[in-house]
Amino acid sequence: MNRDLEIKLMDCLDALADGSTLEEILARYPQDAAALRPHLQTTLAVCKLADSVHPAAQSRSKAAFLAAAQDIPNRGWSFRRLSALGALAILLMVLGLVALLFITAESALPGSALYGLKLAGEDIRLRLAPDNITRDGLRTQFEQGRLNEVRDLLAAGLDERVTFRGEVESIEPERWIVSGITVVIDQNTIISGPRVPGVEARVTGQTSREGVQALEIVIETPDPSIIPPAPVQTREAPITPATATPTPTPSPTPRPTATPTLAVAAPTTPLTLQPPSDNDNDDEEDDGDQDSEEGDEDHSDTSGD
Amino acid sequence: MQDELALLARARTFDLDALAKIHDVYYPSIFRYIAYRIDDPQAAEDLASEVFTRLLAALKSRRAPQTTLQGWLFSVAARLVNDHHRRRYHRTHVALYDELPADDDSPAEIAEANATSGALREALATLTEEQQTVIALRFGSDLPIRDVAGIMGKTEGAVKQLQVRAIAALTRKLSGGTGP
Repeated sequence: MNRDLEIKLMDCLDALADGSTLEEILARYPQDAAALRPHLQTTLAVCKLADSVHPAAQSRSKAAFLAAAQDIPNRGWSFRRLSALGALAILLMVLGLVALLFITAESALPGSALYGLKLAGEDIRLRLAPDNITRDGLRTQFEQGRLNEVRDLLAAGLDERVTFRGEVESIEPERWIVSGITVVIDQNTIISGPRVPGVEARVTGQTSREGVQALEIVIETPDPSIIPPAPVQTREAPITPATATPTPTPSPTPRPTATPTLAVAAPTTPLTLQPPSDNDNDDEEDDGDQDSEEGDEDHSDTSGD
Repeated sequence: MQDELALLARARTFDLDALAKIHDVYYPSIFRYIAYRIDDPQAAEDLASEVFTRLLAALKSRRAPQTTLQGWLFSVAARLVNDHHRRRYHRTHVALYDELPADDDSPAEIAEANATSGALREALATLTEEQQTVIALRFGSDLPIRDVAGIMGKTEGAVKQLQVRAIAALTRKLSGGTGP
């Protein structure tokens, strides 16, 4: 077959596929119709040769195909299901890591990377506390934790900023003891509230070899009316110990707090000794003698005794 | 094409609905292609089923086609046909699925039709494998030139030329070697 006839036959086969009849196609190429006709008839015969699909055979094949597919293990693990499982696994891992971090943070000390997480965890627990009693208990527990942290830092010789609450056990000019912790006072220390042992104090400072170098001490009293107001937010020299000598100017008397362990009483008014007068003395002596001799009279006057 | 890829993606997860649809869509053309090539309807049914069994096996072993399902199915069908021919499996029988004779067909006309059919099949068997494939895909499976080109890995122009030369060779065979 020459090339020209090949091209025409290609065109004729396309037309046949488009549904044109044999005569319509041959009419396009009347001069080549005789040469093209046998090929087109062969094409039509080839088309008729195609076997029809029998529905029963197709159904049997499909049933066998799907049955075999159902027997495949782990069938149906769709991308969506795998993605969901993967996401769940990742979530569980993340939750596990977070829980592990919080557990690890339990022993964290101020200055460590997990210390913020530790405080955040305590805050969460406070917020989730079901009642005030539980919340107060947690606060007490956490305050004890702060004390333990300070002791650990001091024992380890670490230098970190700390804040803790404790009971003022003793007060000296340059050193206080707060819940067993030495708190160093210097001229830069800001002390607010009455400076008496037995009160609760919040101490902010820096751990050092000597103890906690106090930056600020805030005395916390449960009932401010019990203790008269004291000078607030003033820089003062360390406390000097009280002397037994009465002072000429009266000073306010600090009342003991709820836990008075070392109550320091100061005289409210200076004691003065009046020299005895003569008249008064005679009368008293007479009364005294008379009383001692007789013993029967009722003396309601007790002045001078 | 997008539908085929989506179907393939679902088939990889052994989605039964997707697998059922694949069988519905491709079984007829696969069967007709095979039946065209081996002239044995019963064997053609078996081989057509085998094509889909191999699809399952490929999906299980992660060797399933990634980009084209139709091309993969026909390539498997072609291999099965070649294996069938290699085994020289041949049944001499009258085709059971010939069209039922029309009421007005005379026995002579029916015999002539069968003879033509038999002669045509014999002539088809003498073509090259590529020529048989293009005839089976174009006229057996009734696939468009574009799809045939994709399956055979040829250009559309090359497929048209192959088709023309196959028809010409068939015509020569049927006419006893004479003709253009």
